[in-house]
Amino acid sequence: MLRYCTFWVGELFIGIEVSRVQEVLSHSSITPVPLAPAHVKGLINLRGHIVTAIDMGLRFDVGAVGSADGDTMHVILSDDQGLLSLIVDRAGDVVEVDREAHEDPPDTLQGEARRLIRGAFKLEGRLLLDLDVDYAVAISE
Amino acid sequence: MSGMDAIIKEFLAESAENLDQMDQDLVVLEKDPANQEVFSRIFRTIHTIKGTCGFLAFGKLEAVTHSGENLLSHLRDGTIELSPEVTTALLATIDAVRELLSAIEATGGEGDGDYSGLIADLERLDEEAGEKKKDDPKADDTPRKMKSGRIELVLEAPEDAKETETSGSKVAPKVKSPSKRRKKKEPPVAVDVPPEKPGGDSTGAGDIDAAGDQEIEAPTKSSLGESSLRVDVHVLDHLMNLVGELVLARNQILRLSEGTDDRQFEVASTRLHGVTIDLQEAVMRTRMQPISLLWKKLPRFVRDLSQQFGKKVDIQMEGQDTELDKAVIEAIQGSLLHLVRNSLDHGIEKPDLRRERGKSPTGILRLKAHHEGGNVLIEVSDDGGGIDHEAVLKRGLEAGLVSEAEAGSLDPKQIRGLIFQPGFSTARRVTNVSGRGVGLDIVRNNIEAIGGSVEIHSDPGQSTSFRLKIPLTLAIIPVLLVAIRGQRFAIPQLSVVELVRFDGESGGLGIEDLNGVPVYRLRGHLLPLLYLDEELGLADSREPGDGSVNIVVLQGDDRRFGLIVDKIEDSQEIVVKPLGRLIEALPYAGSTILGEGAVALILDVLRLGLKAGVVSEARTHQAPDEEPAIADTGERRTLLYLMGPADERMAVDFSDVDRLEFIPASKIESVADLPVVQYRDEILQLVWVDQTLPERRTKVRKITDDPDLDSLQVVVCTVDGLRIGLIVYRILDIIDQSMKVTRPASREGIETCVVVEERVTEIIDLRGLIRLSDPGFFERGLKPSSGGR
Repeated sequence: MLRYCTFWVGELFIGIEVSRVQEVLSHSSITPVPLAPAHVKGLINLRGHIVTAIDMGLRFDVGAVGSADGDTMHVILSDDQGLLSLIVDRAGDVVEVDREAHEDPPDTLQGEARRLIRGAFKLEGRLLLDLDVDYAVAISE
Repeated sequence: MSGMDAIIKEFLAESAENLDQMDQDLVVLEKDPANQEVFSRIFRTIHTIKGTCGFLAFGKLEAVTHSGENLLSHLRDGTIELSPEVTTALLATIDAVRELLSAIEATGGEGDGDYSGLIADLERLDEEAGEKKKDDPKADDTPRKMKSGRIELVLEAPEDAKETETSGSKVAPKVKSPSKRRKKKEPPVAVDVPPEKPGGDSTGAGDIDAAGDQEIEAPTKSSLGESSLRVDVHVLDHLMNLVGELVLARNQILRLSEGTDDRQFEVASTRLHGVTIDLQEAVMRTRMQPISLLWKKLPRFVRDLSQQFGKKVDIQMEGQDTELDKAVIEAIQGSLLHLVRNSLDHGIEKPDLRRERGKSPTGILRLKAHHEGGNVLIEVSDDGGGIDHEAVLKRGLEAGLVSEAEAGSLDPKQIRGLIFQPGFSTARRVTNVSGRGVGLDIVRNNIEAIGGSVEIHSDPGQSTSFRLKIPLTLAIIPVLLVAIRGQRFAIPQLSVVELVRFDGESGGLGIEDLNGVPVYRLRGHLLPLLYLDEELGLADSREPGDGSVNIVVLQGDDRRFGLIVDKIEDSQEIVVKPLGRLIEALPYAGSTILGEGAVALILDVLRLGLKAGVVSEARTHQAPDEEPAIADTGERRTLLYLMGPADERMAVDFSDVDRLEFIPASKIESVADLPVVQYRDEILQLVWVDQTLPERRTKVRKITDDPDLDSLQVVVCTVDGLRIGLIVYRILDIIDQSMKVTRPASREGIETCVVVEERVTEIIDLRGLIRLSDPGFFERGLKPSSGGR
């Protein structure tokens, strides 16, 4: 069984492996970075560390996050190169998924969104999209 | 195994420090063989390394140090003299040890270096010593300075002690009599240490820390083992980060305390504030190291080099205690060595030549360091031949760094500046140590990369000095905070030249538009301007503000430009944090967290200027490791791009341009058939460019043919210190033009031709143009030509 941290970006229900997530935060004030790619929303101060925040809505090309109610959450990822924040609309629970239940991404996903997803897990009544984190945070375009 | 690893790590760190000291010591000893303290330190170092590596089973290292130690012990017995040959062999031993140590550090093994040659050398010298001893039985009873019984004890008979005391600054402490020989653990009270001569601790032989600690802690402490300890730099970095966070937490508390009536809480938060400041300072201090750490490598370096060049050089140092952040010391190390090398190679003359010039045959290389403001000034100077401006200029011409035309107008400072240009240093003069085609441009790049600057001063025939201005620390820098469109940015103070603020209404001295390029006249010079919001893509449209304009005048590379911001806030010391990922290629030098926790970006002035084209790319895009090819100068020039009345294209080098003026045609007068105008209390002589350099096609048009023209565009230039106004038809642009493809000029008054926007453009040779118009201009100019008042 794999443990996935889940969140919503617009209507998309997305998950990443728990081991990659350092923490999930609510609001943090963001300093925009002029000239940066559009989905790079800006920099946040996480207890003295500067973290680049990515708007996952723009990354998935489904419109900026927080457009519904203005609320967003930061999913903080940590790896050997430092910290990154994925800004999402809403955070979900940590769920356990069966490795065997991994399927190809649904055909409804197109374009960039299709490339960002490695596959899907069928949960009860829902489809959890498995995010390709490394691709999502790579220097793109 | 980790216990063993820790021991090896400790051994490596300790040995590295001791070897650096030993380099220095051997050079001292060569000049002052009687210096017992220095000698015993050398002996101790080798002895300790030998002992430890035997224990750690590093066979090669043990063999090398063993031979070295044997030789040293004969030195100590006085059976051999410390000849240059012996010193060289001992220095080679240090190098070998260093090599082995770095192999151990990198791989855990001793590597495959072969040291049998060195060992044979050492043994040969050693045997010679042995023979000498046999041949010369006197050697044993002649009291020699080097002979001191057991070296570990650094003890001397009183007569000898006196002798050593006078022979150098660092002397062994006096000991009252041999009978009072100190045992290792005995407290230092038994030794009569003259208080005015610190540094002469004489702990026992086994206590290797004695040498290492001197350079870290005040030598007044007697219990050396406790006065300092080694700390991993990462621990310090972490500590520094934590303090940064504490500062932010403190700021939050302070803000809370402002909104409360709780007196006790206020008192507590004020106290927290004070302690935080002290803690921040203390942590900063832990990262500071004296520059002597870097300099102590130099005596050895200078000795080796001066032998190689056949020169005699004394090295003098001032301000060894000046402290710098560890990271800064590491960053400037290479540059400093390069400058020293440069002085020895090109600066200081050979002894014969020095005598001829009436100087002492021994040259002096002087290093000075001191604090000034938030910076450290380091000066590397020599009393050599100075900079031969003519030779530099000649070389500059050869390398294509200046054109013949420019060469005449360069002032000495500009000429000296040439030696910092890439491509100046030439591969044709390969010596072992300098002149490898990489030159002082690399030094300048490296120093500027950490926010410093290099200046050069020279008194021809007498001296040369390089002055480096280095920030104290890389982690904390002073910045100017500016605001644009509600967002704050930090600009490193080092790039800021001055601040200009004016109200739009003040007498028309505002921003002028030069065909799309905004410029500002700052004391008679045209300053290209950048709107920060436009550069950062923040401006959709330019709204007329309240009329006041804030310009931050910046120095990017060797060009100045002005940055227009909404608001200039205050100066602050900030902690530089690396930029996050995904945004590294943008014109930011880093980021920082401001007092109240907000993140601000630090602007990279040079990159901003490059991006906007106000700083030329010639230098910064030179790959530092590439050997500069001489044919491809890659030169770029900033040109004022002009259009003539018959749609021809011309250009003037922008660096010659002082001002751009519109002058009513009616104001032009004629003096001795030459056009002049009264201009700012002067009489400014004018040149009709269209008449002096007419369009050669049949369709002759003149500036004055334009019926709508009632005021004339005048480009005011300064040539050889004389001012002249060029009447031109129209100014099109200021362009940054590559000079890679040029065509020779086909007529007088033109320096060269380039192609701009598919149009052949003549670059005006100002001197030629003026002579065509008025052959006597420069001759009369010897007297002030602008004698209108």
